[in-house]
Amino acid sequence: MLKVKDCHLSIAGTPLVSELSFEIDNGQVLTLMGPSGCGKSSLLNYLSGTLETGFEAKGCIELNQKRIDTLCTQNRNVGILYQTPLLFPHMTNLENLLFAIDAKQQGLTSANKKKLAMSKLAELGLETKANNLPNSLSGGQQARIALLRTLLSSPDYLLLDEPFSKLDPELRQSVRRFTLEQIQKANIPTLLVTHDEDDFTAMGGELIQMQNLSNHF
Amino acid sequence: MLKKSLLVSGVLASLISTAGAQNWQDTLEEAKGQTVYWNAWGGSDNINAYIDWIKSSVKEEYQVNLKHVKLADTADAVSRVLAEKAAGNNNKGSIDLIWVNGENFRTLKQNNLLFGPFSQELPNYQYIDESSKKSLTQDFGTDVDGMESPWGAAQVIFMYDTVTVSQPPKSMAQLLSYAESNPGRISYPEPPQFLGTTFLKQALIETTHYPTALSKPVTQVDFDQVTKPLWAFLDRLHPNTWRSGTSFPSSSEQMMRLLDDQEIDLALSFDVSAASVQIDQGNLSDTVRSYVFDRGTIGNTHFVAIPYNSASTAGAQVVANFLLSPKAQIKKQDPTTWGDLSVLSYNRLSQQDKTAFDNLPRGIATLTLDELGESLPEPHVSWVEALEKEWRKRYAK
Amino acid sequence: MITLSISKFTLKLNGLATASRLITLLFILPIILGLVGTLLPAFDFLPALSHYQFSLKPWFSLFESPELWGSIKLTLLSGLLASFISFVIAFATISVFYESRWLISIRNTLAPILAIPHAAIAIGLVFILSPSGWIVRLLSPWLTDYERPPTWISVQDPYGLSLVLALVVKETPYLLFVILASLEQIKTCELIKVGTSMGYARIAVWRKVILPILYPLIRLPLLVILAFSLTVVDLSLVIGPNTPSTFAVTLFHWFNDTDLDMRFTASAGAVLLMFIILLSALCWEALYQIFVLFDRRRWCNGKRTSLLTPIFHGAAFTYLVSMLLAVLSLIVLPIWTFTHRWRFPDILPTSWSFKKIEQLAPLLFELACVSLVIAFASTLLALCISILMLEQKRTLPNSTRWFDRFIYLPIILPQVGFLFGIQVFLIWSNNSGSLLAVIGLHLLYVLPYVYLTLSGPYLAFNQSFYRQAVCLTKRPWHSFLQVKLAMLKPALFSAFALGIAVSFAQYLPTLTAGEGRINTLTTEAVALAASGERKKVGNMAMLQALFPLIIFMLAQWLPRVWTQYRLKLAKMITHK
Repeated sequence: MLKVKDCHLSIAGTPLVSELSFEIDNGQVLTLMGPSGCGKSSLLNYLSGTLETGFEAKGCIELNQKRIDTLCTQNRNVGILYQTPLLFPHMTNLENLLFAIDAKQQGLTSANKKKLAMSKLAELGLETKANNLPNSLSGGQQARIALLRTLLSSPDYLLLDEPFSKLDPELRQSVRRFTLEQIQKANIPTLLVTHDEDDFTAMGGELIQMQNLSNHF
Repeated sequence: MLKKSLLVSGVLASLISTAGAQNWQDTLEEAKGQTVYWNAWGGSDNINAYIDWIKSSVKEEYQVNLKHVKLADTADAVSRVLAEKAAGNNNKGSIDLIWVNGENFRTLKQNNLLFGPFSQELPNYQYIDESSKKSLTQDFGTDVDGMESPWGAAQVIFMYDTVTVSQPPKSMAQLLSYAESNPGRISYPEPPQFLGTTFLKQALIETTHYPTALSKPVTQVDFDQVTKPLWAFLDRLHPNTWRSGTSFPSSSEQMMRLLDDQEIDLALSFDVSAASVQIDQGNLSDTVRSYVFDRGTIGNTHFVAIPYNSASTAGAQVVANFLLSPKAQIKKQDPTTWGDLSVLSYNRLSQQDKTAFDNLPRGIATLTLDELGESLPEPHVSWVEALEKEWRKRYAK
Repeated sequence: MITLSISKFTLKLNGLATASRLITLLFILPIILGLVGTLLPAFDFLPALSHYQFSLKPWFSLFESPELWGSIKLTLLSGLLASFISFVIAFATISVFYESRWLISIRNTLAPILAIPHAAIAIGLVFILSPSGWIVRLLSPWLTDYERPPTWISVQDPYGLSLVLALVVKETPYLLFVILASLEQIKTCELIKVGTSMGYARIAVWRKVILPILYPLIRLPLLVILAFSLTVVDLSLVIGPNTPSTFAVTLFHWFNDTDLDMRFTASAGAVLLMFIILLSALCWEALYQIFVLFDRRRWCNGKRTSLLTPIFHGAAFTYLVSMLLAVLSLIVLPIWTFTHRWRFPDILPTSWSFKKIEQLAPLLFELACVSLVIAFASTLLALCISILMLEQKRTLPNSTRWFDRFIYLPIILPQVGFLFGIQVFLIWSNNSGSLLAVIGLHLLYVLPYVYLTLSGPYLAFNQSFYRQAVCLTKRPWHSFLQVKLAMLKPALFSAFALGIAVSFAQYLPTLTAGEGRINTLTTEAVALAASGERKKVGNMAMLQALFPLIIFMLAQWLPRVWTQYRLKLAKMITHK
């Protein structure tokens, strides 16, 4: 369970987010919507620990009753997905997946590690593309592999930053469904930031509508 | 074939020039309004200032526009003339006068790149006594043949700081023992820099068992046999030189700077007034003095020459003639201007000019003509290349 | 109406294509002449010296010359080492400081250091590092007990390490600049977030993810640096060893040898140097490919930490040290300018004087004027040509491929040899020694940098702005100047400043085309660097550094305030 208490974000003294609190249960998706500049991306950065210099943050983030806002990104065990899949162009599809697996932590031999990654590719019916570079895949396939890659690093919570917005409309629904399935399978709390109400409808769960605090737009 | 035709044209040119020189007035007339590009080493402020003075003098007296093209290395000018010949530019060359001697002169002369003979026809050549110095007619063993006009005389001097060194070495043997007891404090410019090569020649003269061989072309003697003691000497010297002989100063100016930085104990120069001038400019301590070796040091004469493709040969001759005038030579020998030794023969001067020479001031670190003593003659010019080549083979690998 | 303006437009395009073809030809011609002028003498053919028979004699004498192997070994060692170290330091510095406040400060110091001619930095470095230099003076005699300078070999060392240091000081900022620009083309921040969110240490992400993506983007600048390190003359003259010297300097001496036959050997050497550059570039690339081959397995071994972290931090620290050295060497130049006496071990001069600068003032003024005229003329020409070529490239990307291919050649070819080849043709065409010839040769070196700097922003310009403007005003030229170029102002200004800096730094091209009649601050500074005259050299080098620096700062400042001031001015006029 991911819990955010009294979150307060500001940049150079201008408040962006104030007194925001919410909880997300395992396997649940919380959707966050709001106009541009309301602080959605900053909130995501706050949760992932990648807040840029110049931002100030107050409040606390708890993951399964443990405080994590003091940890740096690499120790938080967070998974992030962006608008673009960000598959590494210099690695094959298989290598992209292997990159995410921490064999030591999961107690895997290197053979088992490879088997695990191949089984994930098989789920998508892409075993034959294992040794191809990501640019040989369609947009929908790339999005799915990116999600699997993130989940293979066994994150404790997941942050989705408009992951469906760049996909063709006819693909979106199937990728949404696939994403929800995977989240429920992994059983981790997920925060989805989006502009698209259909995303919320597809994912279920709760919705937070954010407001612009400083009305300079 | 081409060489022959060039030779012919060279002879023709010389005929024309003799005819022209018969009437110096014509030359003066022709020179009026001409622009003369003088390519001269420009690395020293006081020499540049002196050339500036020449510039205004010839403008005033002869209406010749003199332009000083400052060279870092005279060989650049030689390359230029050569490149012009390569491109077929035979009468509109970019150089009208070159400050030159030794190897560069030989290259120019051998490749028929010079205008002349002209020097002996210059009116002020009357003050020169060719018998007084071998280097007036034999530039590093190459016959001058009137293809260049003498301008000044130079002799190697050593400089040291009386505060750090009480007894400076006065021969190559003493230099070696000094280096061995004071490692890292002796050096010399890197050959083929001319002063560095001169140091090699000085060392060769002092170490060789065959001193007479040096005046002959190197091809006529047993080079290995003659130079064997020189290399033995350098082999012993180098481990105890500045930076253990892995690197050498590039010039006399750098040596003086190193002397002032106290990195080294002895500096060399071909300019007898160098120490006084540098003290005056705040580049050396006023406790620095000059001296020469007991057996004397190498001396030579430097000249000006006119390239074959100059478009202003008349103007260039007028400048060369002015450089030989007692007025210009007195000013040049004045250590507050430059301090370069005169090439004129004292006995041929008028009483007035003699007095002017006598009354020249002397810097605190400049030696008198007496103290400079007899200068050692330069070995034949062919030794330059042979020594440089062997040196680089042994020490610059 | 519409058809008319369209046909006019096509006409303009055709004119553009012709002009671009002409420029390509004019640009390629001197390169070919230079190559021919080097190649023929290398095979004993030079009618000027009555050599009409092709033969291999120059090559025999080249391979017999005693300095050859030592020279080449030194060149390879210093060139490869300097390029490698610069790359490691630049990459490590960025990976350690990326997304931190420090990077902003580092980014701000880049432009000034890039603007300063390398000869000026080398001249300063020699004084700082030599045994009687500033560092030893600062520590003597209270700490070191040295009453006299020690007998170390800290500059012009036989291994060329001080040369490597000077190259690294000068090249690392350039690489940082290039890497920072390339990182903007890839989604660096997101890639780092993806990596770190999976638990990877930042340095591990840089090594496993960013480096392989980044490398293809900076391959060419790396090769430029490699070629520069292997062929630089002025820098090695000032701070490099001389027994033997680097191969380029050896060739430079041979070309200027009074023995004219050495020219043939030198030409053969210049051809050999071209091969050395080619081979080094191939080796460099091969080594990288081999590295990737072995490293591939490590990319996805799942290890979250990197053993290289301390090395990266060390390298980043080295960058700060090298910046400190650069700054010190720039501070020391103006000090020498006003010095009368300054001996070891005094930390500062004991007596000061304005005499030197007063005495030099007319000369400095003349040199500065000549340098500025050459720099402005060649850079403005380069800007016009670049805009023309880029406009052509935008409309027909394939039509400029010859130009794109040849543009790098002047930077990559060794200046010694290549320039001597051009010199013969300059004299033949009776252009040698003219200001025009110097500007022309400078253009050859300024153009590549201006073109490359401008091409990114220029081609990325959203052409819709221009199309919109043409629709509104029906005046293509007006729209081009008032909208397109006006919007590209920051890029134009930076390209201009870089062009000026490149022109100011040129030594050999000025010397070759200027016949010694046209002197700039750089030719004088390098000619004097070998002499002991530190005060004079200090003056020259200081001015040599000052002008490009001022122009760089103006280039950064002007575009920012331009519109603001223009509006103010307009307001003032309307009020009146």
